[in-house]
Amino acid sequence: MACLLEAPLRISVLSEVTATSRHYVDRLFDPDPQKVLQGVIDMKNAVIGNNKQKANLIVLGAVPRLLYLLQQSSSSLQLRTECAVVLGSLAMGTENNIKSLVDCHIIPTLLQGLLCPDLVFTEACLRCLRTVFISPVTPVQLLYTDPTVIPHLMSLLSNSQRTQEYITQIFSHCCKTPEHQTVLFNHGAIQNIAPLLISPSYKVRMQALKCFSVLAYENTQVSMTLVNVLVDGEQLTQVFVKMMQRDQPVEMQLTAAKCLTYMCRAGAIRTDDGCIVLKTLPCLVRMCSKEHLLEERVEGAETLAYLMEPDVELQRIASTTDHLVAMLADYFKYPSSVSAIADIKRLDHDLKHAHELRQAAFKLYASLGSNDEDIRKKPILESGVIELLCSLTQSDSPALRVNGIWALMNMAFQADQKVKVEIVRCLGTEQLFRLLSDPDANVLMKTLGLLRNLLSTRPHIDQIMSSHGKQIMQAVTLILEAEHSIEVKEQTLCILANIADGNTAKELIMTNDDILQKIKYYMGHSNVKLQLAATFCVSNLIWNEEDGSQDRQDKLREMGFVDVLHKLTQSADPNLSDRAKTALQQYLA
Amino acid sequence: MPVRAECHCLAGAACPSSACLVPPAPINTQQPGVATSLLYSGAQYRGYQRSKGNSYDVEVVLQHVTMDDSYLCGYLKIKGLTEVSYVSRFFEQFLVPDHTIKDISGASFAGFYYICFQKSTATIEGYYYHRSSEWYQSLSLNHVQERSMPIYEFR
Repeated sequence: MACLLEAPLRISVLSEVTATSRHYVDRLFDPDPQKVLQGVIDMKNAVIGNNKQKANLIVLGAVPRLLYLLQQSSSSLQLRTECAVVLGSLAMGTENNIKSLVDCHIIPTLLQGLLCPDLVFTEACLRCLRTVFISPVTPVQLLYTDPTVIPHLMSLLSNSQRTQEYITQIFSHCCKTPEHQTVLFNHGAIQNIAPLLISPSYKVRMQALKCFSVLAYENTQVSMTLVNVLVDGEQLTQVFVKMMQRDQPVEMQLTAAKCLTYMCRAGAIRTDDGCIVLKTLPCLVRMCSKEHLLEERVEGAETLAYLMEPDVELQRIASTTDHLVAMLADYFKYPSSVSAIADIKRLDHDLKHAHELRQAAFKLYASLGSNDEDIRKKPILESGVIELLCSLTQSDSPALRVNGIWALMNMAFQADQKVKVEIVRCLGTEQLFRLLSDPDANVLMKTLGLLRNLLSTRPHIDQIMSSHGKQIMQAVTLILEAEHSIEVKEQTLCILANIADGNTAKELIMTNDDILQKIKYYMGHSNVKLQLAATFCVSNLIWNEEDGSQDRQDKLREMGFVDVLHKLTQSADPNLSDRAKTALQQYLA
Repeated sequence: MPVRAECHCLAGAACPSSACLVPPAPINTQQPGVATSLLYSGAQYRGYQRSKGNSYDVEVVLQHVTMDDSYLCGYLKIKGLTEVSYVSRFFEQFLVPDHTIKDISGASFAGFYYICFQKSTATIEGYYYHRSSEWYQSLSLNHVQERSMPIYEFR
């Protein structure tokens, strides 16, 4: 039988099976239909809220028998309905239960059952189908394998509030890809589900709203169609706006905001439309605040980041709305300083998922000011974002560390001294050097990039090397000696090249024979990029416009650098030969 | 929102490729090495824009250059043209900090610069054209040499 467990597990479970459970299953095989019916009813009562009982019955083979009874034409309507109800109850157990049910082909059987005209029976089948489909272990593709299923479900929508609730929940959960969106759209999802937005049942309204959000996501066809829909004479967008009002449950506000966000990003609503600027944006900002649960704040922040991503004006408004930037700074200290934690269970849950909040807040930060100088520069020093980016670099998640250090690298690009000093202060030299030995290559690359940016423009180079030069040279040496990719070595040599541009900083290289030998080695390396970076470094060291260049030129000539440069002028690579020629010219002036 | 493609790297394992970045990096992105041309992110050019009898200081800073896509963008700053100093995008798309401004008295930015970059002399020469502006306003810029450059990479 399809739903029996594998041998080792079966033995341990069977040892816990009681005689009573076996008895329930045996009664399903009674020749007397009345006894069978009573048996099913008793089984129904026995499993309510009892996961152990549910597991036992599944192991003992109740499911195939129940499915058989359900689809038998000789079974009474009452029996078939009770079977559907019991199966619905079994589906409310554990994920393992659901796997067993799916393996027993419960889905095609119940979908067949929907062809029956009886409302109570079809509601019971739909309820069970709903529970099975929304489980993460059920492949959603099973909804789409038979092409008659979707149109049939659409036709059942008008039957009752319950069918509406279950079917919309199935749709909203199972619509995961553009192909799914298209199938549902082509079978009239919009026309059929729109009226449900004003159903007297909250559950129906909520599920219908979720349907629209998954249908509209990155789908221009759907979004453009939605703009023209009227619900009881009112524009659909206005219906969504009403659902974002503060007196609505948070889930509804958030989902309605998502609908409008997705329609906007898909190009169906302008970013300067009142419903976006005056309604959706403030609603999402509200969702990010302390009073809300972690999941709500994560979704609010992510949706807001997505909404603003391509639009400078929205970013500007968001950055000045309700201290959003300061609010987000708190996210990185969560859960120590923010929302009221009502109980231990909540705290435990939130601690486990705090990184999701940080990640969402980061995406939001990345969106804010991504396109405009003023937004980018002004709130940065005032809001403490440097501090929070530095704290991201300490995260266990490599993705967060990369994003944090990348942001710091770009922030240090052509930054003035104030910002650079703040970055070094907040990060701390210990953390900086820890990042230079990070196992994640992306983190290493971006940390090298940050160092390169900090060490650019002469006064900054001298200032930083005078306080941290020794450690920086040590780190550079270690990286050049160790096994690393070409890209990493290239960045490191570029850092050396920048140091070589400093005034006083030059000496840290010139007095370090080991480093000089390494530079010479890389000038003769097989990879042109490394040769180029090393040559550029030498070029800076001997630049004859600088004081003391004569002495440096002499020392490097004695070490054999001039010979190496001559060789490089013959290189096949034009950039390299140019660079070597430029360097040699410094000796002639 | 529906989940996008996820990284399937094991926690703790070294993750060398950009396939493991969450979210993924922009296509064709690369952390720059040594600049091999004078057109690089952060490159500065300074010089003059001359019209009849007047000469204005100009500074151009290239914000982002990708040779692969033949694309560059940056800022052009002209001093002395109006009471306030405005900065304008290289192809005069809009003004920063306020991109909604369409017009400022004393300056026109609805036109184009036609320019020529000459590698051997490290110069940019060109002319500004707009139907209703004074013709033959010339632009002449020299590269500002730097020997310690910072880098920028879009995320």
